[in-house]
Amino acid sequence: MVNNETIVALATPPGTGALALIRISGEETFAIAEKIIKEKSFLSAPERYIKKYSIIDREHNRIVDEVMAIKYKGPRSYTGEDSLEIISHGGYYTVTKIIEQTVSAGARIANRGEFSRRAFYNGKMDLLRAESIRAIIESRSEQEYSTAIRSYLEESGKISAWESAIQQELVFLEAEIEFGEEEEIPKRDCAATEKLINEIQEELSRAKAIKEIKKGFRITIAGPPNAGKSTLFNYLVGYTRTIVHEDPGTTRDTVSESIKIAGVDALLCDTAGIRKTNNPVESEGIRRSGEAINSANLLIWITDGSEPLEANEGETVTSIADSETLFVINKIDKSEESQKKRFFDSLNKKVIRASLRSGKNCDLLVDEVCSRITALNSKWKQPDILINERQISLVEKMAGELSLARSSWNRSEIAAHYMRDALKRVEEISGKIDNEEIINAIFDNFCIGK
Amino acid sequence: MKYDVVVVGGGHAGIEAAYVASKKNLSILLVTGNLDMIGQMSCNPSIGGVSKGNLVREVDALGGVMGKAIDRCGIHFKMLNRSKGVAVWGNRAQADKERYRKTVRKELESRERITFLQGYVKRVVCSGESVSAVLMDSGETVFCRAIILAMGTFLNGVIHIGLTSYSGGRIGEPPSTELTESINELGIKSGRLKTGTSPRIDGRKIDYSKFEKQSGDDAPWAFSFSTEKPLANSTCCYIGRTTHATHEHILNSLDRSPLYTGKIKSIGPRYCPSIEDKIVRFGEREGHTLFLEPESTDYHEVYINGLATSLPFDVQIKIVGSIDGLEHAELIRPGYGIEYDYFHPVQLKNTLESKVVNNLFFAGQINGTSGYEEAAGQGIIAGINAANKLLGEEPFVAGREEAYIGVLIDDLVTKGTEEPYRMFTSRAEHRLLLRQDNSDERLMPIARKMGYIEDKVFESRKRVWEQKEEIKRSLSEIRITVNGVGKRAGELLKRPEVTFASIEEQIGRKLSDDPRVAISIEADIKYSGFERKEKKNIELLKKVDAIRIPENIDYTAVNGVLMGSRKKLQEKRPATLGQASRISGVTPSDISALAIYISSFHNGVSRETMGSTE
Repeated sequence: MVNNETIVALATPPGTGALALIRISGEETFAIAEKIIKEKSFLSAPERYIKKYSIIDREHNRIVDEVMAIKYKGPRSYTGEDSLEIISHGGYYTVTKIIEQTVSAGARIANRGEFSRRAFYNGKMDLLRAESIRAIIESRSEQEYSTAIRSYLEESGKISAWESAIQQELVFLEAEIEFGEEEEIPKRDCAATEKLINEIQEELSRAKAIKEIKKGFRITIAGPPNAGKSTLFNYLVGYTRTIVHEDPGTTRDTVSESIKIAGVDALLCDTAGIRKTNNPVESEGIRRSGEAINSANLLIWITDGSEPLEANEGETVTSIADSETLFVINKIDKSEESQKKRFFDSLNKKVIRASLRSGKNCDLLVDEVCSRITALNSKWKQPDILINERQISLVEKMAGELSLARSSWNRSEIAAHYMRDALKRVEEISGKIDNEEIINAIFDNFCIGK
Repeated sequence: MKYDVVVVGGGHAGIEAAYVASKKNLSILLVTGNLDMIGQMSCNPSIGGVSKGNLVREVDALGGVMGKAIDRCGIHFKMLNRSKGVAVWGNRAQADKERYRKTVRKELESRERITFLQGYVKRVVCSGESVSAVLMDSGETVFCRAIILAMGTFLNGVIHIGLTSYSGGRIGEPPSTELTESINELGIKSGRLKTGTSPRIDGRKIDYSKFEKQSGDDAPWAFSFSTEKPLANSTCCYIGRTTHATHEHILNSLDRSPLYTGKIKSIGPRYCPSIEDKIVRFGEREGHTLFLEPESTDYHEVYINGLATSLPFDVQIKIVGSIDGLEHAELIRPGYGIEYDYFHPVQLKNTLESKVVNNLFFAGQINGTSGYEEAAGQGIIAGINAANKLLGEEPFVAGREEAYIGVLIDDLVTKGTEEPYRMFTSRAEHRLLLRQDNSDERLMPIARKMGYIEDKVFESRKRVWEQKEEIKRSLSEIRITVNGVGKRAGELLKRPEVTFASIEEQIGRKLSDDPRVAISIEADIKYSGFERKEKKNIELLKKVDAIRIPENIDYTAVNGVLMGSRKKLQEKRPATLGQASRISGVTPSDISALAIYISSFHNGVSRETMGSTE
């Protein structure tokens, strides 16, 4: 819902700081400012100039703070409305007092995101841009940030490129329908549409990958009971969180911790030891371990080198032995069991032999984990756009509609129908499109009519 | 003199308006500047085309004349886009121009209550907020209860041939003056547009061997749902091209072109560009297609389709002479450009009645359109609504999902137009539902209910619809084995590669004797999936279209509407929320703000009717 009430909010984080920025926006902004600013010169002050003012509490006739303030006249403001930015001294009381004065002069406290929402409604930015601003603010990793800032700076660059690609195909289809019998309209195959679909699919898969990054790069530690999983977990986390116990089956759930390793934010997961059991609590833990294994980006399988290989472990290891799995044989300070050694050697995978207790080869282990993460991370290409679920789901629909258009290419009226559906998705993503644009484009591109 | 309805103009809009209104037993006066020219085809001698053919079919399904007339005097029939899906097929026919006028005149005379009068209307007279009379150039006052204005290009018309210009409504006929000003005085704004036509040549001197022959269809498809007589393909068209020399002549004389010297300032139709426009904008092309279209089978005048021009007469002679096969063809009527007044159609309701003056209707080219078919489509809507209004019956508005006529009028009254508006299938968002072959099913039952369709016509179409239903029923029962699996024939027919004929072949018997019925059934089934999908959107559209905006709304009082949108809304004054949403530049958030305003406006007045804005 849109209204013109004047709103106020603190733009900088709450708490103590050198400075704070308070934003006011809405029809009554200048009238309200006039009430809380002592200087009469405020009203005649030029817009977009910073000036010094005193904020006054008229009721008690006292100065609240000395501030710097900038006037913005709508539509030349962030929200598109008349706005004021007040830079005050940071500090809880200063800010509270100023906001109180504003509210008693007629403003109301803004709802979450209301400034940006107004900017969107007032046509200052499209939805994509509004969303990328939010994504910039909320970025928690280098990857998220660079995608978000690119989306913001290029506005809807990629989306509008797709939009014009779809429009161009539609122009050919429509020109063929309207004028194909009477004019020379060049025949168009679906190669360009095919290319577009591939490009969109590529972008979608990158977007899904970054979603994974957002969820956290998952490193899962798994292995048989009492192999030293929790020890490794704690070693990697760097401090003790779970109780390390000699009794097998101590860790009955997955435990996870956010860590930063090799410059990547990762989620490190410890799991319950995998073995055959009749204990329902333990078997639930094992089931969850299975899930943690499946969702891992990097799996570390750790096993006690001194214990014989159980049939169960052999099966599990065979099923997970792909390139993403790192095998660690622990407790090499004890003598290595020969059958187990043969088994792991036969995998032809890199196996790190270490002792977490003595610290032997632990540096090698950490190096290996880091290089695996770096290698994996570099495989994930940055998506250009698509920063949130809403956009991804609309683009997925769009790709579906384009595929339908491609498969009905020879029936131009049907292909055009799906193309229009796809175009509507762009409209949903960023703005509005008028039928007139297609017709205009037809005339700009073909010599048509008698 | 006193009549129920005065129709001003005997062109394709005026004809339909007078004809259909006369079916309700109202007295009609058709005023025209020259009685011999009723139904004149001022431009090319053809009717129909992609989307335009559908308009004619719709006019026919609503009880109009155009379809019947062209069926009777067509000389070359062709269904366009035959290689594409049925939804975008379009009937087109060449007419014997001479015979077309006679046929239309005869058809109008068959309506007892239509009276004709030759003359020019000078003023529209109102009493109170409603029209009461027209004042003729003879000084006579004709009293009436409703007026339908359909003056085409005649209002303050100026004809341009090269840098020579003179007043005229059509070549050889004087313009209509003073009438625009009289209408302006009522508070209705006008603008100016331009259009043009091609030169005509003497067919006796054409070397047809230099052209590609284009024959009509073997089994031509009628425009009218009531035509029973076979159609006559008695002639051919010929396809040729402009040459390098043609382009040279044109480029060398742009300094004498009224378009390029700035003499003509009005905007012309982009889809019907003059040849000089084509050469200037797309000069790099190897030549532009031309069609030679016979104007009659009784004499040899030939229209050069694709050569509309307002270049000087001597240049036109050179242009014609530069075309292979026309070296010796004499130019007998020059092409020309014409500027004329039109009234901004946003000042009209969807019934084509003025928003300002009661019982004053506008139809055809004066609303900024181009084309005989577009004119006819508006004429019939104005005629029906004038009659319905005088009789106290419900207004008739065709929906965008119901008819091309609905799209045409909705576009005009909500978006307005700054250049001559032409119909395209792509303007109709529900194109797949608006087929030429189902125009009768879409519109005839409504027109019948309102009393515009004769018993005989309706009964015969009803039999066809019943036959279609019956065949569809059998299709849903017949099972055909494909790769060992039994499938219903109706389901199979949904597949692109399966045809009605292939089903008949499989089951070893004919399901329909009429190939048109077969085509129509196949299309119904092939598009049924899309129909279901579109129905959802249509329901939504209907809801938004049912929300009326108070006529006296003050947009400056509506919070949350963008500045730019506010201006557009203020200008175009949409009648419903749906119309507002179709104005270009108006955003969804404007609409939600408007919806909130309307619901608060109505609160306390009638809460239930506004439930749909939630």
